[in-house]
This record gives sequence, structure tokens and C-alpha cells, in this order.
Amino acid sequence: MNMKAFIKQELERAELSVDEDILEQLVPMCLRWQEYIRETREIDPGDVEPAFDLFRS
Amino acid sequence: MSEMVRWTIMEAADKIRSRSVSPVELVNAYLSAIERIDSRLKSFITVTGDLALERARAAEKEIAGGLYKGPLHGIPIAVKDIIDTAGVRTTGGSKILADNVPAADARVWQQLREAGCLLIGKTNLHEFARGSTTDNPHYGRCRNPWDIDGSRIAGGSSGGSGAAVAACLCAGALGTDTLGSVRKPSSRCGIVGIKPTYNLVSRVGVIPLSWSLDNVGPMTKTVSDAAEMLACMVEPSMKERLAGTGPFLSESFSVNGKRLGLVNGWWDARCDSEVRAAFDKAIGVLSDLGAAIREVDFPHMARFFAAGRVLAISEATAVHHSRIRRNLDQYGKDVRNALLSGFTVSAKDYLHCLRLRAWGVRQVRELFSRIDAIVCPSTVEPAMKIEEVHGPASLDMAFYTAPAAFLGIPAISVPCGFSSYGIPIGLQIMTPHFRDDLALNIAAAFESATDWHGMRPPVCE
Repeated sequence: MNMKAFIKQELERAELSVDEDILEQLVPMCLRWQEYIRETREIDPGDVEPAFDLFRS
Repeated sequence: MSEMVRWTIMEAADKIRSRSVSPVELVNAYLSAIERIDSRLKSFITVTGDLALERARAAEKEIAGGLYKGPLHGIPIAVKDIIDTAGVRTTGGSKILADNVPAADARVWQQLREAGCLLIGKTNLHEFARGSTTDNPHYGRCRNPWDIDGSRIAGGSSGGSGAAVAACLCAGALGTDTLGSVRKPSSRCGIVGIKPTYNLVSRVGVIPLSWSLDNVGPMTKTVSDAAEMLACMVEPSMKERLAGTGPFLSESFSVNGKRLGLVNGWWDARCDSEVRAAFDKAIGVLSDLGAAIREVDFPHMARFFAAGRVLAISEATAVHHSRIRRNLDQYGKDVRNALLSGFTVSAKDYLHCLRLRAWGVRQVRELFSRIDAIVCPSTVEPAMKIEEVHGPASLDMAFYTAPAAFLGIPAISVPCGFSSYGIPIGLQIMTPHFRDDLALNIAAAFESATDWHGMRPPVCE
């Protein structure tokens, strides 16, 4: 699935509908989130639980 | 412009305590300055002149009657327009909340008000605090006071607070900081701003952007002013977590022997030559004061920045989900696009970043067993021109500020120089959880060895 179709699908799941022009504008930002996510995956935090309480970590 | 508006909070407090100036005179001086400059600067959304004068007259009476509450009594403070103020509209920088008038003060403003602070107005911000320029489509583009007729950004999202303090339109201000929104505008406007340890200051009554990253922090002309405000802002239930029970600043503090860490591969990874030059000189000053400057290996900061961005957009999208469904066309274009794009981040990736956060907190605690503080620039560049800021490029502005927010540690920005085109540059100091006092003391030592904090933009003359 291409990025635009993926964005459209995720927005529909969130009960949001936007026109083609806006969808086009969202592509660069969504690509940047994917880039950031890739960077975060470079660290494997092992068996650590999520930091729901920052100071219990 | 009256000399009074150039005073620091502590200078004004001395005059008020000794009754050589009254809070009414001080408020009038600020209102005149606002009247003269703010139609160009656009740092305020609402100016509360009548309310400030009414409260100033009450403060004057109290002080004359021997009821002096302390250094914040009678001091005019501006509050970012995302922090609730009873009876005064709180727009969040949004058209959607243009008529929102809270019934109660945010907890933090209540604390400052009870210490005697006077509300002079509500400051402009990037819409809903989600952005770094304070180019607000509904309330105007906030200008950088050092380039008031040009297009250099004041920074954001607390750009109005930064610009108002720097332009001497209030004695101090409150901002909020999710990934750097206090520290970046403080750096770009040439003032001091601190993001406290996460949860040290209450967020009750503050319109959220990202629950796990939002912080309220003071923005002031000097470190001692920031310390005075922050001492009053600490949530009472968090006081026992702090290192000491006394004031944040200690007269006996010395930087001599303190181990200040430069994180290899990060501190100079993104900053431009102007920032680099100012930062190098700042490190020289700290070294001359006796600090032990150490290069340290901690190869995670860039990923903490990325993870902070993922957490922030995920939570912002959740915060705004219902509102954006009802009011899609009421949002400005850049905030609308950012929030909509956040729907593509999965819960699995969000949780991975939360796990990374727990892991990162352990790592940074270990790092702080080897050094006392991390130092780095506050911003990547001094201040871009608004026309240079496009879409995702603005996200990288938080490269140096996001890691402290992600880890929940305190971080302060203090002026450390100027670019060749006259825009201020900030030095950032980060310390362990609940060692806000250490960040403030190192910053105060740096400040007392330099003159940057005393410089005011030409518009103040």
C-alpha cells in the first residue's frame, strides 16, 4: 500500500475524512514519523516495561 | 521606555518592599510599553490592564499595611494562553477556544497569584502549543524582539512569553514545554527558561498537548528570577523529592570541580556554525570557572529525540481526536496537518517508545553517576526566518531540547551569545531528576561570569 492510501485508511479508522489535497500535504510529515520510528527501533530495551510512571523506572 | 520595565523581578521586588515604587507604577509602566510595542510584536493575545491595576492597588494597600508576602508580591507576570486564569479567557492559541473563560485558575497560576503575582496578560503561542514558530494564524505572528521588523522567529510554542519578557513587557512569564517550548523561545529571545523535572509543577488547569511530556516553566530575564518563580511553583506534594529544603540558589555554590559532560556525537551533530561558536565560548567560560569539561559516550540522545517526537505526536493526536473530528476546518493548516499525520503512528510504536523511555531513564541515571550535568546548545540555529520553516523541517528544531523532556530531567537555557545577525543564542544545562537546583546554580554561575543576560533588544530603548 502506498503512503497516501495508508494515511487515508488510518484517518478513516479514526472517523476522519479529508480531501485529496490535504492527504497530499500529510505525506511528508508521515514519512518523517516513519523515519523517527525506525530510529527508535535501533534500540532494543529488553524486558523493560513501558514508563507509565517515569520515576518508578 | 521607563527604566522600571528593564528591572529584573528581584530588582523590582527590592523597590516594592522598600516602597520606593508601588505595584501600580510598575503595572502602568508595563502597560505603556505594551501599548507602544505590542501591535508590532504580537506577544499578547489578551492584555488584562484593568485587572492588573485593580490587583496592583490591592497589593499596594497590603504592603502599606505591613503585609508583604515576599519577592513576588506586586510583580506583573504574563501567562501563556494555554494556562487557565479564572475569569480571563484562555484560548490555547486556537479559534475554537476563542470564547473559553475558565472558572478557576490553573494550580500553578493559583500558587503564583497567592504569592502576590499580578496577571498582566495572556501571551501568544503556537496554536495549541504544537509547533515551534508562534506564527499563529488566529492571533498574529509573534515577532522576535531582536528582529521586530524582520522575519526571524521568536521560537515556540511559548514564543509570546519569550518575546514579552525580552521586550520588557512583563517582569516574567509562564510558558509550557513539551519538547522544548520554554527553552527554545528563551534561547532565541535572549532570556532564561527552565523546564523543571517532570511533574515537579502541577499541570492541573493547563490545556494538554502531551500528558507524559508537558511541563510548566518560568521564563525570566535572569536565573535568580527563574529560581524565585520556580520555588513558588513547586507542587507541594513533590517538595520532598527535591535535593534540599532551602532556596534553589546557594550563595556558596561553585562550579569549580563540577563535571560537565559533552555527549560525543550529539552536542555538535546538528548545530550551525553561529551556535557552535557561541557554545565553544560558553564552555570556555565554564572551564575558566573551574568546571571539568568531559567528553562522554552516551550514544542514545538522537534516538531519545526521535522517540520524544513519536510520544508527543501520538499523545497530541489522542488529546485532539474528538475536537479535530468536530472542528477540522477551525485548525490552522500546520497544526491540522501535524495532528492528522499522527494517526499513522501505531499503538505498538507508541508503547515501544514508552519502553525506551523507561530504559533511557536507567541509562541517564548511570550517566549522572559519572558527571554532574550535561551541557549542549539550546537550539540548532539561532532563529530561522519564518519563510525558511517548512513542514517536517520544524520538527528537528527540538533536536537538543527533546531528550531532556523525554527523560523527564530538568533543563535550563541561559543566554550565551549572539549570532552575526544579532539573534541571541542559548546554552542548555541538564541535570538529574529533582536536581533543578543544580541546573539553576550552574546557570547562575555562568550568568554571573558573563554579560549576555543584561542585553536588551533595541526596541526596549
